[in-house]
Amino acid sequence: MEVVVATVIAVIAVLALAYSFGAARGLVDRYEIARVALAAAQRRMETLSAGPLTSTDLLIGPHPAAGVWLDVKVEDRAVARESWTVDRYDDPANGIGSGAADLKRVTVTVVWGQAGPAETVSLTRLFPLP
Amino acid sequence: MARRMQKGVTLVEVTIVLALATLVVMGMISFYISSQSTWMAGSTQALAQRDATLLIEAISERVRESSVAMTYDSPDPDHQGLLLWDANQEPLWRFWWDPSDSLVHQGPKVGQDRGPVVASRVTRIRLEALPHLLEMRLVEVRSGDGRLVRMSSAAALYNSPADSL
Repeated sequence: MEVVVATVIAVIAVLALAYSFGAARGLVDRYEIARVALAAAQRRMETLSAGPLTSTDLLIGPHPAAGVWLDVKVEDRAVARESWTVDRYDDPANGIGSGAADLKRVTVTVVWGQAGPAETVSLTRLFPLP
Repeated sequence: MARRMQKGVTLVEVTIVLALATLVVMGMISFYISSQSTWMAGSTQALAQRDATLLIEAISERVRESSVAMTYDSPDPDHQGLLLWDANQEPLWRFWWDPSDSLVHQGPKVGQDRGPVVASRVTRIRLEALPHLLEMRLVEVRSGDGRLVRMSSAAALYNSPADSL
């Protein structure tokens, strides 16, 4: 009886150990896409920063349009989707709630993952008004 | 009665135990080798991912303090180098792919090599310099087990002349 119990416990332990290695490998792959998504969000933010403040990409509202996503491509292979929103932001330095929108707040969102709930990374940066 | 009092194991019993023990040991060895292989693959992959991110960040950091950027084939379009100048049009920094070790090196001026940016081999690096932006179209790093990590990003030249915006 003791031998049977010990064997069952040993088998469960070995299977759990094997599963943990597989799970860790899966997490490494998942983290790779997260890094790619973060780099893509940075790329979009830097591209917006490099353009003129009067660019249509920085008009108040969702971009490219509400509910529309752009493919994030790495070497012509779509790995995620991105969009960004621009809204007014009141600088607290000159009085909270003064109502004056003296800055623009840009939030870039990249989502990825086909199966299950999508994963997301978001970056936010304040831009001056033109 | 005399036979029942005998002690010891038979040859058949020993053989069976040895066979079972051999199977168990072989299974454990196989499991150990497989686990180690999986762990090594995961580790090298994670290192390559980290190095790809570090390379992009190192280039971005220099680009952001630059005024002008120019790319060149080093030595071919799949392995490009980057020259950066400051606001006074003085050479600020450069990155280039060295075919002797397949690593991206960096240094302040031509002939001054501060060594590789990251330890992972870079299989491809494609850049494009725009007036106020450096596009890192493709940064491809090879992990220790041969898998490729691909990323792309961009960095703005915040010190480029504002009047051209």
